[in-house]
Amino acid sequence: MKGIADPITFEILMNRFSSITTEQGIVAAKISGSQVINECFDFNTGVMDKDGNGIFFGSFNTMVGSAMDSGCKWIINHAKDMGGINEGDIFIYNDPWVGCMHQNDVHMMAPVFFKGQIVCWQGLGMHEADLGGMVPGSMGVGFEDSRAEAILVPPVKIVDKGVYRKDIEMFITRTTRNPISIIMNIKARMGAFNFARDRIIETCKEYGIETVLAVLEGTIEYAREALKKKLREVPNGTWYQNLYWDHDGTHSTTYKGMLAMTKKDDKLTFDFRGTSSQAPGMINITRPGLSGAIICGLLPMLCFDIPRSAAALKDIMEVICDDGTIFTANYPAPTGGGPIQAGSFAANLVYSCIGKMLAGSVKFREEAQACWSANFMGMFVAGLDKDGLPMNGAIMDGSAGGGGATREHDGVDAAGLMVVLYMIMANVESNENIYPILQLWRRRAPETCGHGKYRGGTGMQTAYKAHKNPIPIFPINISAGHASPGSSNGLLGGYMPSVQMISIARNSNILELLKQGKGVRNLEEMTYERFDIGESKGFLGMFNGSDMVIQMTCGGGGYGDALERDPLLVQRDVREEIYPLDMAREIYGCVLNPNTLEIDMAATESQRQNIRKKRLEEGKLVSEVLKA
Amino acid sequence: MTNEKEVLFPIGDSFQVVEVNGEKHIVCIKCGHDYGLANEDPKMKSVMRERPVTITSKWNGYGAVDDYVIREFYCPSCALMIVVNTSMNEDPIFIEMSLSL
Repeated sequence: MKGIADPITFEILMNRFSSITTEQGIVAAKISGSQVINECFDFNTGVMDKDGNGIFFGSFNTMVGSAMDSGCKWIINHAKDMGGINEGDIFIYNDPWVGCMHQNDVHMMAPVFFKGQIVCWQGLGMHEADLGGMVPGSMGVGFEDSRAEAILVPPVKIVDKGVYRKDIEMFITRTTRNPISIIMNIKARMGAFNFARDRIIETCKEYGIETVLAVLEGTIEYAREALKKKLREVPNGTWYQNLYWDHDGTHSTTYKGMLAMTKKDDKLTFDFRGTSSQAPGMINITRPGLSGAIICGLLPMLCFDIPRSAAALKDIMEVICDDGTIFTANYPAPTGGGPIQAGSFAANLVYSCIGKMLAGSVKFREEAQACWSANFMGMFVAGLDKDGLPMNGAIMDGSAGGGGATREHDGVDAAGLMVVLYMIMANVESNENIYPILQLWRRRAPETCGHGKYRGGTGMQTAYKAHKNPIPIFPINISAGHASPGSSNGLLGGYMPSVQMISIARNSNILELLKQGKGVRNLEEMTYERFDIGESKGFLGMFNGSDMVIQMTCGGGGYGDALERDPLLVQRDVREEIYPLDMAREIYGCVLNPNTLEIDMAATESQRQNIRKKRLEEGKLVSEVLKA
Repeated sequence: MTNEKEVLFPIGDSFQVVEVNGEKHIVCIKCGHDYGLANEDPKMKSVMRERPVTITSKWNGYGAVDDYVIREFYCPSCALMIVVNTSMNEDPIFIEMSLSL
């Protein structure tokens, strides 16, 4: 590559910058006082070149990092209106039309100078628990305008030539219910920038700026060429997917996402025409967000061994999508739930098509994977903590969705989220420390996986109650796939996972059971007055000490025909209560003794033949269905 | 003329792309059923059956159970399930793939 002394130096420096990107995130997490940052990693880091092209972004929450380069380019293009770009400047913004997924993702960007010349840009986006607006958490349901959701801050300097702008800090924190957390996170980013900047400058001194600049540009080229090489080994074609998303935060309406993904030689075209128009509620993302969501859908299967370079990925892709859809919403459409709504929706469409495409590649078919769980199930709570102080935030257990199955193995149970590689749920003890709750159980949720020759991973069921809470707790659920079972899907004959569910068992006897010293492991062991099932989005009604909140995420999609599944695996699933005995028989054609769960091989073979026969007897040729 | 098939590549565990007499076809990986030319969608030449969404999970019964349907697509010869779509009742069957070989 041009300007690089030798391939070994290139390899060393490319990996050093990759490492700096990660280290920057670790430093930020250690400084931050926010649970979603330091324990759940709901943030991401990035390094952009002097022109704002994304060279690396971190592996934390990829949905946060993937649109960072758009924000950096916006700053560069508008620098003259902000007093130019100077050494010691740090910019801050949360405007989704600039380059983030929603207002809660506050990004900071800083140019790194060496001897008066910009070497690169550092970026760090973090999910903030609250940025004002009409409801705690700033991801309110019921609002038809982003200006009602949270404060919108276009890029401004929070540090100007090395001088911290206290007035900007006051301006932002005056709007939030969590000022201390916001300030700590601003300082966390600054600390991380200082750390990473020192490492970058050290590298410039050691190798010279020309070599460093050549390596940064060379990284984009390296990633682009590696990706192109991979694509050239996959057959050309077009793959299609339709998915459905329920509830827009204002109405229980269904939204449709459509993708035709064409791969020609070493290019990918994503055509989203036919996707629903932008919603009146909070599910939308913007055009920069769509590019980020596509990248999130590409990374796990296609780019796991390639530097995460947004610039390289954008070089090989073309996006076709009309303006004013849920993926390209116009200002001031509400975007409060963007990353966990339309962002995940678009990424699921991409992931589904990439899975189908790779299944046809001799070299990469082992990488083909079914879609993961539909999305993050956000449970936002507010009230007073055990000390009587205001509290609000997200219980992150909803990130434990099931992984997609592949042609060689089942999806991972309660794996996480495909679109946010490293984001995880918090420890129970941490939840109980921050929120006035007591968590009763976390376990694999039965009947949530997508069935198949290899099944998707299960979702997770978690249950908690209010505990030592001075006042009842205010809960808002922001999720999807509660009414629609078509928000995720399986691959090549595998089924989609189940819907997700949020519910509250009201006035249960939990307090009595706990007084008796009894551990409670599931709802069947309790009595309760009524069982309220919440919609995908909305206020669930205040909950108090005897009310049990039960969240259930969905699993991942299955792979292949369920009748091809090894009966031993079916037997294990039934033993582990992944699905019941009758489902083993009807879906998998596997006959087990109801008492011992021993496999009856002869009956299984016969049952599978019967199911195959019934399929053809009850089915119709598609050509005939279409004619009719 | 011979009808010898040369296997070009598999598509997962569902299909194979083969060459027969200079033409590329998609066939069933299990039974060899010929779906036709490789640039045409095999799903459109399969057998389809619609089933309620509750067959795969009791939880789906709490959702918009009447609005959605599972569409299962099978090989017309051996009934291997090749695709499953979850669709809204009124939506047409969509194309799954179209290879350009």
